[in-house]
Amino acid sequence: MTTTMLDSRTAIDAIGRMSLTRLARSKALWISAALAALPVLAALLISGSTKAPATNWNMVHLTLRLTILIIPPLIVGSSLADDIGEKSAAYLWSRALPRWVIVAAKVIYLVPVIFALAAVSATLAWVIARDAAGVDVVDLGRTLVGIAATSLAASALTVMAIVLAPRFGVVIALCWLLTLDVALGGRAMGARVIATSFSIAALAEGRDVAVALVSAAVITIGCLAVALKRIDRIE
Amino acid sequence: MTAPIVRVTRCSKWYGPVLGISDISWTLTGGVIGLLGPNGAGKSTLMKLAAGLIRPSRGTVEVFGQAPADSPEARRRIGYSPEHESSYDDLTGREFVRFLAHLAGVPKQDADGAAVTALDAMGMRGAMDRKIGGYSKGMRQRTKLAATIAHDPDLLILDEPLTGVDPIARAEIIDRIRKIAATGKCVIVSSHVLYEIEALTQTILVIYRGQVLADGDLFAIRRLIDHRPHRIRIVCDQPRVLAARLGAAAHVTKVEVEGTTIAAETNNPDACYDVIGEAVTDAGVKVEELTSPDNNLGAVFEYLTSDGNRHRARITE
Amino acid sequence: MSQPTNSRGEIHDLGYARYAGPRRPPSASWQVIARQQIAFAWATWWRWKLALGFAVVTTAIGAAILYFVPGGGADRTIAMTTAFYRLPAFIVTMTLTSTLVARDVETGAFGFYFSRPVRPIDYVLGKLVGNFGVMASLLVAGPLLLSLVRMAVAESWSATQAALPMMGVTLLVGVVAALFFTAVPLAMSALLGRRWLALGLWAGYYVPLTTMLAVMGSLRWTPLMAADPPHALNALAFRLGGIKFPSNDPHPSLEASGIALAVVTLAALVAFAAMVMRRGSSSVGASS
Repeated sequence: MTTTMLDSRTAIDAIGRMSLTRLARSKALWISAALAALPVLAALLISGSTKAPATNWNMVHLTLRLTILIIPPLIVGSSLADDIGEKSAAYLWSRALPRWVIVAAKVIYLVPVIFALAAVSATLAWVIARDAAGVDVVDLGRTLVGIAATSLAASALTVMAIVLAPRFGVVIALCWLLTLDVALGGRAMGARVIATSFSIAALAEGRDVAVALVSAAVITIGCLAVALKRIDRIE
Repeated sequence: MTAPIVRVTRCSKWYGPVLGISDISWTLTGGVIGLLGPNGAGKSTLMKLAAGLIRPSRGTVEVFGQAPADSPEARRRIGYSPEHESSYDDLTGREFVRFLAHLAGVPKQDADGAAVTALDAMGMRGAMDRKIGGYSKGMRQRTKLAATIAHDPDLLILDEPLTGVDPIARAEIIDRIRKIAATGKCVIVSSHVLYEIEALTQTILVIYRGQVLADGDLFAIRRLIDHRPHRIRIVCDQPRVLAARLGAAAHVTKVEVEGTTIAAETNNPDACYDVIGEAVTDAGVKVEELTSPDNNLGAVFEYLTSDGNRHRARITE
Repeated sequence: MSQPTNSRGEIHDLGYARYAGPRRPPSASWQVIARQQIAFAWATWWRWKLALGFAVVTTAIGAAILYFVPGGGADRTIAMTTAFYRLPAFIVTMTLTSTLVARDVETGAFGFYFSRPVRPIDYVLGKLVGNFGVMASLLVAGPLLLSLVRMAVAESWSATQAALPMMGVTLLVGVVAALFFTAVPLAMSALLGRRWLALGLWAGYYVPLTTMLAVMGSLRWTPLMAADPPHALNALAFRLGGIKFPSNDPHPSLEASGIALAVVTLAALVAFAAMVMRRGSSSVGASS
């Protein structure tokens, strides 16, 4: 039988598609979807509220921000940990492909799923709560951009954590994102803070959206660079 | 001289303070080689180095002339079956093997066919569309082996390939491995079940405490273990006549007769067989059975690894 | 085949002697499991020790504040400081508690447990007691120490006596908190047989869900805030201690907080026990 060296794009595609297949069959997707429903639930709860619209929308947005921090470790983290954290790494690493394609495949194929879940959730929440929250489509657009940035940054953080500590990377990522992210990351560098930069309250505070975008880019590029460099050394 | 398929040069590997293998130099040019050693000897470490999963702490490992850890091209020609049975439980056997075959370089349009062929060869055709999570241990093992051979590699590295497999499937898999080797592929196989190794090959590499204790032809190695006399068992119709002849030979160190059975120990088995042959032709002794209880892999392994037997046996071709 | 008449046999003494000492009854298995849980938590620096260190620092800071804060503010200081112990407790639930049972399921440890005279209830009790001990070291010991410090630095004997009720409050709130932080993550770990999913579910419950309910409660219906454990525990501490809340924000009532915590903790205990019984009585591993 003739075998050929798989080019990186084909390898990424193969691993990415397989990751999607496995995600569709796993409970991680259902749990993530349930979490993504929380902002919609929040929107339903505030829909009859008599509080100030900004307050109402901030409540929904807070739920969305907290949710978006958990979903990347659940989806990207568990998928990558399965491939490189457990013994099944032997199957992929004995194949004729460089290891970095595994990381690339997870990010390229799974981050859109995370974004899709959160975007659907945010959009539904906006539809339900826009009157009570006094938000227009521009606010939704800003929120979606924030979700995209946070999905990417949180996923990159998770990937780096797992590559650095394959057995406990998911725990480290979740602990970081849910506790230390704000405390140690500083106003512009924490993944959660990036998302808050797109909330109305944050904008009302005069926080710089461009700085937040740059922060997201820096975190993503930095974490992925560390991960891609380090993955060759894992044994 | 054939270019070596695997060349290990002064290779050591440690995991923190734990030594995996120590200063091993070894060359494999082809055929089937059985990797033996007690638990923790370093067999899996050596196999992982050859498969490119880990890098040596010191020294070099080359497979097809390249360092496998750094060369996808080298890994394309390797089929590695790990010792553990973890796999993707949410995939069917067919999906799993097809995926790995594709990643090993089988074109996408051919990957399914290759997967089905490999699974069929391992007796998994009936169960290949069921999820691996529902497989028994033996089925997982066979699926794993199918994933190893699906892309038709030139070098097979099989770490305990028959663990958990039922006897019938075991015989089929051994036969399959022999056929693969007969096509010119190279196979490195480790097992604790020595008769399985014997069924596959006479060429062995014995690892003990991270070092190569013996490598080469099994029987040649046995001849080198001269401080352990060879045991020969003969069943014949005139045991006392034959025993007398054996006892008179200088190379025979012990003769015991029990009924029609003679148990002899000798430092020179070939000369001993000559004495038996002469007894047959001169004295008309009828030999009904002639065996060498310790001229086998189990005895060789035991002699090499038991306390007090610390020597290296090296056969040069 | 008959045995030869002159066959020999020999048994070599390898030094092995069958254990002939006393054996503990199977009903004591839970104690073994509980001790193993504590040893497991203690074995690494990041599972329990790090959180314990944080709790020690919190206690030290709280004690220093108590030394300088006059009597009236001491109760509030204690009540507010107890909130800080919930962070290391949450981290321990992430690094340890919420993955414990799932880890046992994934590694096949259930097979080891239940092939011995260990009943599912022993497993449940052992896990609960062991992990409660870990949580209590964070959520009970620290606040209790602060109460003792407060009593020790009191200016008079009557002031010391007046501080006694607050000690009772911190003990009660600490125990309730420890029970909650033990039972709920263990239940989620038992529900999902995979570590990362159990971890995600617990994190999803504790952070976004309960925060959302607390926020919604503050907007629409105050008792809903009791669904958020930190708010409920704070309410318990402040209301039982008769302490004024530091802010004018709404807070759940004592009854709502108590009921919410009791319901969630009890439900978690029942769910944990039920899931372990189910897993223990069904297949404990892949067939072979």
